[in-house]
Amino acid sequence: MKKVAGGKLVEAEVEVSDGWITRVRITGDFFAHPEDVVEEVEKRLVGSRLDPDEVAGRVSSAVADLNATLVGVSVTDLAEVVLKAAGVEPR
Amino acid sequence: METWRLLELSVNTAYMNMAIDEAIMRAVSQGRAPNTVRFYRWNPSAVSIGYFQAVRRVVDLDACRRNGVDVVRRITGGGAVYHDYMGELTYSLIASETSDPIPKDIMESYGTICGGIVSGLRRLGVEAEFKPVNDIVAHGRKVSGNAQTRRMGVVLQHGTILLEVDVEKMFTVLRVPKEKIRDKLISDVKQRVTSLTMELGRKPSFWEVAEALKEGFEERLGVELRPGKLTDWEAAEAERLAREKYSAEWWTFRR
Repeated sequence: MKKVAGGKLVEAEVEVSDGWITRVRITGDFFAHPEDVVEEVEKRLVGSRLDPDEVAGRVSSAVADLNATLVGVSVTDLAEVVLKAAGVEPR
Repeated sequence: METWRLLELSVNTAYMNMAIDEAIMRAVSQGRAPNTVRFYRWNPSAVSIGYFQAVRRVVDLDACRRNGVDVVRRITGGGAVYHDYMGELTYSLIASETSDPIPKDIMESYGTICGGIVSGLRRLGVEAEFKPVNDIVAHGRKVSGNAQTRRMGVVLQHGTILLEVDVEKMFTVLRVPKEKIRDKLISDVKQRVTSLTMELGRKPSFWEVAEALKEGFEERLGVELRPGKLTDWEAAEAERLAREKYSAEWWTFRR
């Protein structure tokens, strides 16, 4: 699944078991400072239900807690690309 | 005026180039080295990929092997870049986050550092302009791409300057997204990308470009760049990083 935002590409691979996220891998040509925020987002999404609000909440709390700056991608883009990869259409 | 170290144009493998940038970053972080601007080329020619990219998605690894092109993952985000030995010059700037000329704000600092490149390219006669977030264009076409990271209290920005561009060659080693038609993509990229050779009507030498960029950085940052060398500590650290990290599969294939 991919999303182009301002020319940047974001993709996600998501594994799901019984409606719960068990693994997430986000890739693309965007920037994130500090870079660790992407691993933090991936980690925090494990154990999330496939619920748009919960996914968006976990992404945004990871970004906020690390006081991270995303460039070429937004919190909303990340949540959407993860949900789409898991087969959930965003609201 | 502040004096920074200049590491003059050198030629290295992809692994060593990325390892030297990180070694300098570590040295600056530990107070072992001054703020530094460095110019380099890549031999063999290589593809560098962004920190978050999936290597198999963006690079044709078989084509790289066939063409003797190395592949290395950067510690900076952004996209895949083909660094042609004969067509491309790279710079890096490594400075403490607290150094005066570098804005604290990341977006603003792209403007300042790219401003040095713009000033340098204008000295050569190229009508260069900064195009936020991280590109430099001439007549609306990209001539330089730049990527920044901040770690350990240090800013590293490195970027590419196209002296000469061969888009077909570029897309033998870079993978074309499957939804795009190869010929269409190549003609689009040809429209969007330019080179110093195209802008100037002649191919400038690597030394000439490096000298102009040095002067551009000096002007824009308000520092003097004095030629120096890597310290023994940095050289040893770079050797270690090239061996243990940048040429290692765990790093290249981590995404």
